[in-house]
Amino acid sequence: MLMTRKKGFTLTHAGYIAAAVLCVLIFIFLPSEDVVSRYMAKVINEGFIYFIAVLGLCVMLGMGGQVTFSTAGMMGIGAYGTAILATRFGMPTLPALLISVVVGGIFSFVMGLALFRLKGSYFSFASIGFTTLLYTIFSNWMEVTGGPDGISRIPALDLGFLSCDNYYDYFRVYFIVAIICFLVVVRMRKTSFGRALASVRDNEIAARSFGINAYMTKVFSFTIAGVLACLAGAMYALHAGYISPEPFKYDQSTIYLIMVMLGGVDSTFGAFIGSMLLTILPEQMRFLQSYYKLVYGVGVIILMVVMPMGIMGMVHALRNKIRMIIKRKKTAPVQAGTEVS
Amino acid sequence: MAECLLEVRNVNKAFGGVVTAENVNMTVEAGQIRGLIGPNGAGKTTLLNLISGIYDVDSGQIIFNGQDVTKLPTHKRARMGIGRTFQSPRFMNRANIEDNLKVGTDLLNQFGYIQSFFGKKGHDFLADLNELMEIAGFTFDWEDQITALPYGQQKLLEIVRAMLARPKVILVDEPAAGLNKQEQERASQLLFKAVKSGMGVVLIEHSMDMVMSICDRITVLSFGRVIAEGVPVEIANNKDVVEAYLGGDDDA
Repeated sequence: MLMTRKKGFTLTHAGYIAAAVLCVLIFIFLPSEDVVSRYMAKVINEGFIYFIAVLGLCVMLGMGGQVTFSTAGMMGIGAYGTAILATRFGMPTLPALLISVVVGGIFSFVMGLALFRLKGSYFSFASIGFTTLLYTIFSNWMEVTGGPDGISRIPALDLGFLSCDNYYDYFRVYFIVAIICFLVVVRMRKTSFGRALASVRDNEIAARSFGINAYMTKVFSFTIAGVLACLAGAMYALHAGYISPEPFKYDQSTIYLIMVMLGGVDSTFGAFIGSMLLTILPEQMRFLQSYYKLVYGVGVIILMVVMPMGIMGMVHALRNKIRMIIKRKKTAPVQAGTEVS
Repeated sequence: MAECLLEVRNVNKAFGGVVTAENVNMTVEAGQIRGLIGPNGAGKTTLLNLISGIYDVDSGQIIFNGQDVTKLPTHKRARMGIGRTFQSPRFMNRANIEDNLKVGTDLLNQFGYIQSFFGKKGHDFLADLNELMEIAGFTFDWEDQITALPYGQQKLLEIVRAMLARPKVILVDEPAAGLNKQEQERASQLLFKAVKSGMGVVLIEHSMDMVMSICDRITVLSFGRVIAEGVPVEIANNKDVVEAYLGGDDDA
């Protein structure tokens, strides 16, 4: 029997179309005061921002298997870069954002070259040091970063044709940016880079003997994560209008890691679910007050025990099981004679 | 005489006080299966790791395709055409079969990540794959997880994957271990296919049936030293070999 490739319209294609239609509907109808409150729109926007940062972890941790705590620090670079350029130098917001993302990308590439001299957990610990170092700079370099007071009066995002005056405008812009970033990462999974990263994750020696430069592949993944985090940070600064060093402390990185674990490290869409859940849920659970941390802690432990591959991991496992059952039913009656051709 | 593809020249390697390669010499020609046998711990897998660059040699040279590759890192050697498989299959366990096979063809295509991102089509490996799967004797579903395959098929598929990259030399580490007789035969056929298409093969194997029937020449290692080298008949009758490894006319 010859192997062939599936052709034509499948259930997966139908799913893509449905998702696209859903996105258009959300884009048109959600950003209005009748549907979500101003406050909720702000929370959802923050969800998009975290989602973009968490996408970087999707690449680093999900595809590459590298645990990094650098996300918050890199977000800080994007946020402070944009804020400083926009306030102190009076630069328009869009070029300020782009420049800080590019500079952040170069910076994370150079840092990646240094940090990936270390492997596994040594790398992870070094990334904590890296983020702590950045936090120290943010909170102490008074002349540039404003120290603990941070930077206020950051102008709102202005795209030229659209100036974001309220959270609904931000919603439209950030929604589209999030979708673009999402599609880039989805695409990345199916490229030689995605496969190289996955094979470095599962077996570095095997990866190297398939011509993969493991070190550079990891550095690239760190750069991509850095760019995404910088972008998220810049978006954060413009959205909030004010930044202080606190959100860029390394312990914030653990929350991003939990977001990606909750959604499922192997799934790009899982990153979305994880970051949205962990952004919106705390708002809905304010009635728990100080018990919230307790519920949160227990929840994380249960998550790791019950579904180590996250929500989407469970969905995929279920789907694979159903596939196998259907396949067995299909092939069972003729199996005996056809196994050996 | 066929072209000498791979030459191991006076290679030494020790881990602390344990010598795993001592003045080892070995050659592999195009279209030749070089058997590498010896008792456990003789340094067979170490030698493969030295050839593919996972370990650095202490002294000596690895010449591949007329070029000294001793100082090159593993991935560069792989790109030049040194393929390999492992004692226990090393796949991406969280990926499906298609992605796992494509790791092999990515090596053949060798274009950059960015070109790949923008949809540059690689070499279509379907024809190669079909030919090889015909020999391997089973089919699979692209979408299946690699772990859904039985162990024997995983081992065969690993050889197939290495061959899809069209290497010049393929290093095969115990392909028959854990396989049933029929699958062992399939593995042998795959290796025959490899040499027929001009590859050189280095085969580590404990199944003497397989080694004696398919190897063109055999190198016997014991405690890191080459104790014999020759065609299968010579090896089977060599006193040193029988003493160190074969243990009489037992076939294990």
